[in-house]
Amino acid sequence: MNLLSIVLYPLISSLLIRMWGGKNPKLAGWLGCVSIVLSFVVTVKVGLHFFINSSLEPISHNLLTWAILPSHAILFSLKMDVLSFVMSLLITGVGLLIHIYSLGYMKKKEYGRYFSYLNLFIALMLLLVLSDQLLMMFIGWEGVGFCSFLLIGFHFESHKNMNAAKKAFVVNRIGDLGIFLAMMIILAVLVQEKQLWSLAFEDIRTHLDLFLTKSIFGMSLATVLCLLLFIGVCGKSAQLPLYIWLPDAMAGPTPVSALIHAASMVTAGIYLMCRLSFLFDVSHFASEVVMWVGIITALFGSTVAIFQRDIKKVLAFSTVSQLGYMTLACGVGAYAVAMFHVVVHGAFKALLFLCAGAVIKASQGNQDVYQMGGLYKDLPWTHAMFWVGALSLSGFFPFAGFFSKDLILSHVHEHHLFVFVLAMIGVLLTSFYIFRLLYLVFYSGKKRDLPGYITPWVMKAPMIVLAFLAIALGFLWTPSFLGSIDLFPQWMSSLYMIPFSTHSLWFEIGLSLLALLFSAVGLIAARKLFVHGPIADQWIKEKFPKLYQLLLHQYYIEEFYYKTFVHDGPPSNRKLSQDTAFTNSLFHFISVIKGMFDRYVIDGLVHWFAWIPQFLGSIYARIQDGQIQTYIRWITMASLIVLFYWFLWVSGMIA
Amino acid sequence: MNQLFCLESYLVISSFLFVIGLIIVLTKNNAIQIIIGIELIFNAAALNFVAFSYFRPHVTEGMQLSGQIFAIFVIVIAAADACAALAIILSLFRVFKTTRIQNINRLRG
Amino acid sequence: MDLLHEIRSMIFLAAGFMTILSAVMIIFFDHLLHAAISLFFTLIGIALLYILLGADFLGVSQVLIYAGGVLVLIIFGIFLTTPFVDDGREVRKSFSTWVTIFFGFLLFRLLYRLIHHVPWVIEEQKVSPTTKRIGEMFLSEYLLPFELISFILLFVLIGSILIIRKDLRKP
Repeated sequence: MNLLSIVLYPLISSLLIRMWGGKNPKLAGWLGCVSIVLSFVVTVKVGLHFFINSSLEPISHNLLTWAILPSHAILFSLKMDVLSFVMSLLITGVGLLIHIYSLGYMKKKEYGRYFSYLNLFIALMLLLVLSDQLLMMFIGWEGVGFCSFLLIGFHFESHKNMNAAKKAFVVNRIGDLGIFLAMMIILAVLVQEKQLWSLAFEDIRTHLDLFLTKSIFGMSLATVLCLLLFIGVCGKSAQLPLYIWLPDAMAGPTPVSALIHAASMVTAGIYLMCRLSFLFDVSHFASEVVMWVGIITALFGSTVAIFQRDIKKVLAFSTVSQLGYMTLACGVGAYAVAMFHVVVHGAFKALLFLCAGAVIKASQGNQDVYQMGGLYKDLPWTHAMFWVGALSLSGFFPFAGFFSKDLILSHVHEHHLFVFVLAMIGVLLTSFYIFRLLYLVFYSGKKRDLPGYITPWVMKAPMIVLAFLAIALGFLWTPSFLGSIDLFPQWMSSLYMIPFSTHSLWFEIGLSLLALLFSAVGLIAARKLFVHGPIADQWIKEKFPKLYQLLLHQYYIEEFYYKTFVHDGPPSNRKLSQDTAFTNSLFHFISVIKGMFDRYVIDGLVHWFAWIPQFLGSIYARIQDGQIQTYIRWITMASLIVLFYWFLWVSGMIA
Repeated sequence: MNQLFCLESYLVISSFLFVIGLIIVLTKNNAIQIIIGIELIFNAAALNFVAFSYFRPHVTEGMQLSGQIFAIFVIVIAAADACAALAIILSLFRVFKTTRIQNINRLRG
Repeated sequence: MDLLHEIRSMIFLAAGFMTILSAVMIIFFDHLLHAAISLFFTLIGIALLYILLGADFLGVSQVLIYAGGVLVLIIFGIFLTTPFVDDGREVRKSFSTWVTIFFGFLLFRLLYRLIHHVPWVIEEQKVSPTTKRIGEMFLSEYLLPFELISFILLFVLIGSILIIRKDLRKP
């Protein structure tokens, strides 16, 4: 009962809000927030069980019995272990704050649809993290993809929004293919070898040896599975090949970006990797791949974020980059560290997005950084919050980001020196872009006077809470030279081996200081370059125009994808009505093949099926052709046959 | 040679004629051919009657020539039938301008 | 006696042969008139067979009515319905034609075996002139059928005329 209610509260309220919230925004707002409060409370209650019993055993709750086999019963159940608990806290906690913030951000008449979608999203995300088997998790996975479609395309009147929503869904779907294939392989192996019709994580773990012994294409099955699952992760968590939906997804309302693209949906991929860590642990090759994709994405995100003009786009690429760091952590086997960063990132990124939302609202919808500036006077609270968020993101000392980033860097250093160097460069770039943003938005050498706008408390309060969290959460896991608090890893140790750091204490201190140094360099450089406005941008544009354009246009990846897969022409934000012929793109080629297949095989099958009755009918039609002579013939022949038969029978030749 | 002239031979001839007539009726295209076939069938039946009338065991006086009388009836009926059939064919021919039965395939009011 | 029997057998053979041959020719002639002429010979053959069976009246009336009446009628019909346009004797013997012929053959075989299987109890009758006796029969024992036959003839005649009559009503 308990676990189910965590998922059910938002689910049912989503339905109710959809039905009655349209006319009754007050109901929508209240119900939306209350349901998340309830979920949060139940989550905490359930989680307390971990502390009260001081055991970290998971509790499970059987939802329904799928089948009963001779050996055992197959159950669909929800299970909460420490990993799910942490994720659920994140989802419901940050979700709650964002719900409250949305009360102030969204217009009253939009409440109905908005809160129902948002609640649905929370419900599905909770289903994702609470399920104990791949299939139900996949339901949640796809569900949140769908919700992101709904929410990104919330203001559906605009083509840009709808295109972004469609893009998000489609790209997610491509990732889903990987997961689906992985599920099928797992099921096939388990059924064949052990007659076990199950996709539960536990079962996969117990029978891990099966996946090691078999191999396809020279890779062990475990590797193949990891790679397939990683495709899904790339789709959902916006890693390099499939990140393209995340920047465009900023077309949705800002709280949506805060929730989905900072705290929840994008972390689903990291969650999956942490869940199936035992699988990634046995496959060296896949872990290497994960690591490299992670670091490349991290660098990619941070370089592209440097010159963007839209606030939300900077934050979007920042998310891509930070997700890259989390992936990197998973790639080197530090799953607990990755989860820690997930939680911390959820706090400060959500905070940054909420601040951006306040700024956007204050600027009456303008998102272009070049047209902002001098807001430190007008939005003091927001200004302060943004500083907190930025400092946390770049990893300055008492803020949470310092601790999590440090851990990542330390573990990466143990594995791979070159990647570590790249990661350090990423730290510098991270600090640079976020402070560029801060200076351009709030300073920029201007002094603006916005027409008496005060951020409502309903928006300020969540920001304050998040700011607090962005500082406090760090202290769940401090390194040895700073107190060695290890609350977080203690929790996680039931699931993961927390690797002992092989570094000496001095090395650790040195590492942290080096990272701090890099971040500080980024901050100072940004201050120097941007505090008086986007001068540096202009300078780079003139001096190194190619570089500037390259970075601004995301290394032209969008154009490449568009040209190869979709259309020879401009990137996808244009209206669809401008689509003309698909000429020399991959899609055209595939569609030609598919067309032939469709026509000859599938239609051929249909025609063949139709041909059979037609053929038989034509034969039968010859019997009844309206010619009496034919009828007489048939009658005569039939009666003759009867006659013959009778005679033969009578004469004893036939018994 | 005596075996040649016996009941079985006559019956064989009659059944042969019957089968030929049946084949003509079932196979030919022309309406008049079909009438010819029908006439053959009638004749086969009549021949059968007469053969039995000759080759029968002793019966009463009145029954002695019954076969032949029946054969007369058959001839009369056959003639009447041919007459009616030809009338129909001729009137059909006026409409359809053909005697091929495949082409006479629309019922007219 | 034997000689007569032998002559009789030979005549029977000839008549039977002619009948059968003509019958088969009816099938194989494509030209309608040729088929009608074959029918003629068949009828003559049957008349001969009648006479061999001592049915003199019947044989003659066969020739008169059948060969001289029905056949003439048929030939008139042929003349009246000769197609003006020769649509080509495209009488392709289709598959079902051969199937029918095959079944006919099977039927004949069955009848043949049947005929030779039954133990007929026969006695040849004396041959005598039959005309008088038939007349007597018609007016004594078979009176009713006789009357009915005449009715049938009447009806058929009137009916045929009705069918064949052109519509004389004013248009």
